[in-house]
Amino acid sequence: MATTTPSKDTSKEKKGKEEKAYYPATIEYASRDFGLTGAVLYAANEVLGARCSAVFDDFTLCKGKYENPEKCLKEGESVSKCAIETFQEIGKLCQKELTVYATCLDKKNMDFNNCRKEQLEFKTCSLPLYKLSSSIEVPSPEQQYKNLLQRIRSPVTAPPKD
Amino acid sequence: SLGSKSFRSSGINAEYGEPNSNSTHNNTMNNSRYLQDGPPEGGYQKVNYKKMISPNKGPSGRVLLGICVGMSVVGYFEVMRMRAKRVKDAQEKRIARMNLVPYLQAESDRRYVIELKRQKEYEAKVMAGVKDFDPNEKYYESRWVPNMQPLLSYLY
Repeated sequence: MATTTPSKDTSKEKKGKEEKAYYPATIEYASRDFGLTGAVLYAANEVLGARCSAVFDDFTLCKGKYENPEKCLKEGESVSKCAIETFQEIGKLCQKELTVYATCLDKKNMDFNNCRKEQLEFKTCSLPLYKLSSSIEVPSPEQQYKNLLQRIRSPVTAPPKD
Repeated sequence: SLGSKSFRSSGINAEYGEPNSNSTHNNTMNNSRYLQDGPPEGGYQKVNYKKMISPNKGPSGRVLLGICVGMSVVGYFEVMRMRAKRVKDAQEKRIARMNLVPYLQAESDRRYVIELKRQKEYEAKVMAGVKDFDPNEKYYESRWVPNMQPLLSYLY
């Protein structure tokens, strides 16, 4: 985890100018800039899946529709931003446990069975993080129901040709 | 007797035996004493040619069968338990990879698009004055197929 990145204030009640999260000029090298190696990603996979599920689903649906990667760049950008935000939130609460867990995975063959102790510590520390990130707008259940009805009642057509 | 007691431990006891008393060899063989290799005093010890396994000792056949059956039963349950554990571990890893796919795919897409754009521009520069050259020519109608493969130089 890179310690040079500034932290982000997720509180929206802040008066004055809102501080934006730090994103590099090109997010294509997010893993390199933020030190997100394979072990770190394996360690934080459940937190990512819980917090960014809406954005991830949007991206996967878009990819299922189009083969051309140029059509899903917008969703991909939001995906990377969500991931960066979650890692910044994890860094606030339990950076040490994450690094310990990631090094254990790195040394022990990326097997979850060999690092149960460190996994337990990390999970107990990261329990309050299991909710959707604040920057994602989730529609209300009524709106979701209406969207679903609209999708069901629309005619079934072939996907558009790229 | 000449030193027969000293040879008793080795098992060889040379004795001086008396000549044959039968009348068959009276005229042909010498009627003198001769050296003979014979058994020790008291005879040889008894050789145990019978089996050492005594059927009246140890557990009976039923008990042995029960032990074998018990071991196999315990083994079956252990196998089932370890199979369930293996399946659970594989599921855990599968879920971890599913959670990470969108993040990694988005990064890969960005790199791919940038590389493809760079190569398309180079191609346009090279084929500037060429007649009947369409850079956005469709190679396939029903699906998206890129005009060229990216070099993937960022991997090396």
